[in-house]
Amino acid sequence: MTDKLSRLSDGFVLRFATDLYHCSSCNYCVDSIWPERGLNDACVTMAHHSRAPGYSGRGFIEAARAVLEGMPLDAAQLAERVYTCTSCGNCESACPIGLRPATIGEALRAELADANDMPPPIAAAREHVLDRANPYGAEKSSRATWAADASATADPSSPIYFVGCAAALKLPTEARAGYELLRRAGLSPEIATTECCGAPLASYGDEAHGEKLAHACADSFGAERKVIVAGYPCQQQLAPRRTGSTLSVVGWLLEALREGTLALERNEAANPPAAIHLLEACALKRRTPAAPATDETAVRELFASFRIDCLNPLFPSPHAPCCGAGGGMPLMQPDAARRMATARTPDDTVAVTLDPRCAAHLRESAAERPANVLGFAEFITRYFHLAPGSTETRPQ
Amino acid sequence: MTERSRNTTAPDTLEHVTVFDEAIDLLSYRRDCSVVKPGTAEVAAQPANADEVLAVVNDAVRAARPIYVRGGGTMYAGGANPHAGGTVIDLGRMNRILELDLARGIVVVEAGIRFADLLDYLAPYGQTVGIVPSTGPAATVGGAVSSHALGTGSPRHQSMGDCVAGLEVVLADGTLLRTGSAACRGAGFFQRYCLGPDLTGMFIGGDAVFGVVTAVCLWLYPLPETRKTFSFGFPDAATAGGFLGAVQGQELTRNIWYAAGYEGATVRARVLAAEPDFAPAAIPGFGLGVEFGGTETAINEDHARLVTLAREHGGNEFPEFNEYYFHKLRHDESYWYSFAGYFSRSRCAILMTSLPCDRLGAFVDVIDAQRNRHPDFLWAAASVVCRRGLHGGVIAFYDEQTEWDAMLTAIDATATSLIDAGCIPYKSGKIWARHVQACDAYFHVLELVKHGVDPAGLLSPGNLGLDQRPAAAR
Repeated sequence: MTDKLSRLSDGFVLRFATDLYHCSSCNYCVDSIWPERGLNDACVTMAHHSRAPGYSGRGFIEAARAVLEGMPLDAAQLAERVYTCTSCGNCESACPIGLRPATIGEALRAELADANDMPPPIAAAREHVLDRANPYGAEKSSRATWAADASATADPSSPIYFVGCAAALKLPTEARAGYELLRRAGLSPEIATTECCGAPLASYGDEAHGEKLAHACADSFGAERKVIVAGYPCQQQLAPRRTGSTLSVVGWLLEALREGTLALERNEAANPPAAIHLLEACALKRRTPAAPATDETAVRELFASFRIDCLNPLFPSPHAPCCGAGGGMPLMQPDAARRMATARTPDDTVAVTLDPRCAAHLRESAAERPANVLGFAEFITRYFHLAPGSTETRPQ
Repeated sequence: MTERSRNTTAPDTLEHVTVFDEAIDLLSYRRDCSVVKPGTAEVAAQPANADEVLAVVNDAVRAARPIYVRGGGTMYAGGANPHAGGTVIDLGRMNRILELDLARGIVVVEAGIRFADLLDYLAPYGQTVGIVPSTGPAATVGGAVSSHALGTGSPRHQSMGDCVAGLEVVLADGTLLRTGSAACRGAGFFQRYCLGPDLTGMFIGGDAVFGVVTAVCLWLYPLPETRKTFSFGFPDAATAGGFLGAVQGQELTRNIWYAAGYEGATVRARVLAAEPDFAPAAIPGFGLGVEFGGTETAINEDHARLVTLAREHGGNEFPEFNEYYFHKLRHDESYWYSFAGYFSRSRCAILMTSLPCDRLGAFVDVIDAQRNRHPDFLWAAASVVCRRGLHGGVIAFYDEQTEWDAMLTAIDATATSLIDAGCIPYKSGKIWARHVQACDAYFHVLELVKHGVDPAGLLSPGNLGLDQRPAAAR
């Protein structure tokens, strides 16, 4: 471990020098308020953890520039700030000139990781991923516990179902619901019990090991076979490394409905609520080549077709505050992460999340009051049937 | 990080004030949006209310530590840059609405409230405030008042100060001052000009050299029924200046909520970027965008009168500029036209000046001269219309990594050229400090007042050129 971060790699400078010297210091990424765009406090870390500007997107830019200009920074203080970030990307979506403060923060993590300056909670999680294929420290074998009673014989022509760490270990009901959806669609998916996809390591700044795990995971599926993934970070980690279709559970269902191979019908025995909170997934907010950009809009339209109101009128908002599950926040600042969860679920209205990681965190954080939080697959399996497709794929 | 809890008790200690003293957090307080070089504070404080501001000021005065005040940090005159170190007071947490009185037509807010937040609060009441800077999501009311902000609403007023009915200010000696009618115990804010001399004005545009503004009372205005943009073109800046003088003289600004003029290079760049095949000869030498707000009838009447007036002054409507630039800017891209959009090209230096309409041609001539003198930088100019006269903005794009010092020299030379051309400093901060010092009698009185309210010279040293004048010149 080093005391100071006194230089940045050539690769960092090449990628970000323009951003660092372009920033106008307008503070839109720090604490701007823009009601028309649903932006109320750009940085959820500053809103719920600390208003020290070192935690903001601009703080990351200033820190990087200071190091570049010969001002070494205390490595532990810098690490505490860049890892206490949900990686939600609000600072990037708020920037009026398209700079990349969140990406710079993530790149600073990589610089610190290379210098062995990860904060202890992150370093421990990293070791768990390398040793036990999950960041939580659970036994490797427990990844498959949710599937213990999945008795159907896998059909090699069916997709592979890969469940990310969050769903497998923190929200097994969602993992099971995703599998159930595939079964109801007439599929017999092979349940992948491979290693972690490496997405947590990438977010910790350990890009080399993250890449290695990603390729190992992707290779284990075979290049061409369709893979359905429970968890957007995992789906985004794997998709660019495969030629075969790699969809989230949400994406798979939307595709099937769009193509007419499946239809959704109400479960008459369990009416869905008339209104829900539909929570954006941070992983979808910053567009990557693998990110299905329209999933959130399509889900809203789907629910609207069943007259389920989405109470957050700006959904999907590019600026929605993180629930606290993202980035290093739950490891670095669990109290702040819980406050973020409480802020995102202000009442007992059913909240549906597109990313299992969010639902897992929201449920864990609801200590004193019941949290009516469901993952997407849970919500669909509870309130709908899947039927073979027809010309009318969405009943009126 | 030293971060202490929020609750305050007596105003003599910082025990319960949130402060940051670690280098990594102080980086973000080093500068505002300006080309002025940064400074480094020893500590930054985020008071939650006026009592905590008092505590911070008392603490700094006891320690003889300079104090700088910061709102959103979106100004471009270097006023918030802590050149003398010390304490930066970040008012961003002081963001409450303190009072709304529709009958009196006032809203009282803490200085750190963002304009976008305030407007969102007022909209359901059908109200707005007089001037709203173009950085509404980040700019604070206190910062706008302290720096003569401009923006939407400018043509109806001279400057931000016209929109202020009173202030609450913490002075260096620990006095909590309320100005205007609120100076009388129990009267509250409803009248600015009463009692005697206008103390409110002393702090407006003062960049915190005389006191720390903690609350602002703003006049309310009804939201316009509708808004429309139109654009006009003129052969050159001087012609446009004549037109604008006539518009102002006929009080046609009453329904104009924003009007900005752009010299030829800017107009050409925008039009040709949108439509590369546009005939260059058809692009006027000066473009003016006007945003009306009011009833449909009033807008149409005023628009017709402006068209007639424009033709009388050698210009005409220029709908292409409206479509390609002004309408898009004001409505399609963002209601908040962020000046930060300038920075999409590169870091830019902004120097604001004030000028009468009949000097618009001379103002643009200065820009053209700078283009010839400093061809390595890209120069542009915009002018904001106010009720009488104009505020001109010189914009120069530069690479901060390699050209910062050269740009500072060029901007300083531009400032001198503007003075020589009959323009004057606007939004002083530090960027115009030397020229404010040259206004002998005015600066002499500023020094007298400064000595009275801040004898130790701890409030924002360097702003307005105060406390940096060579001793021999005093």
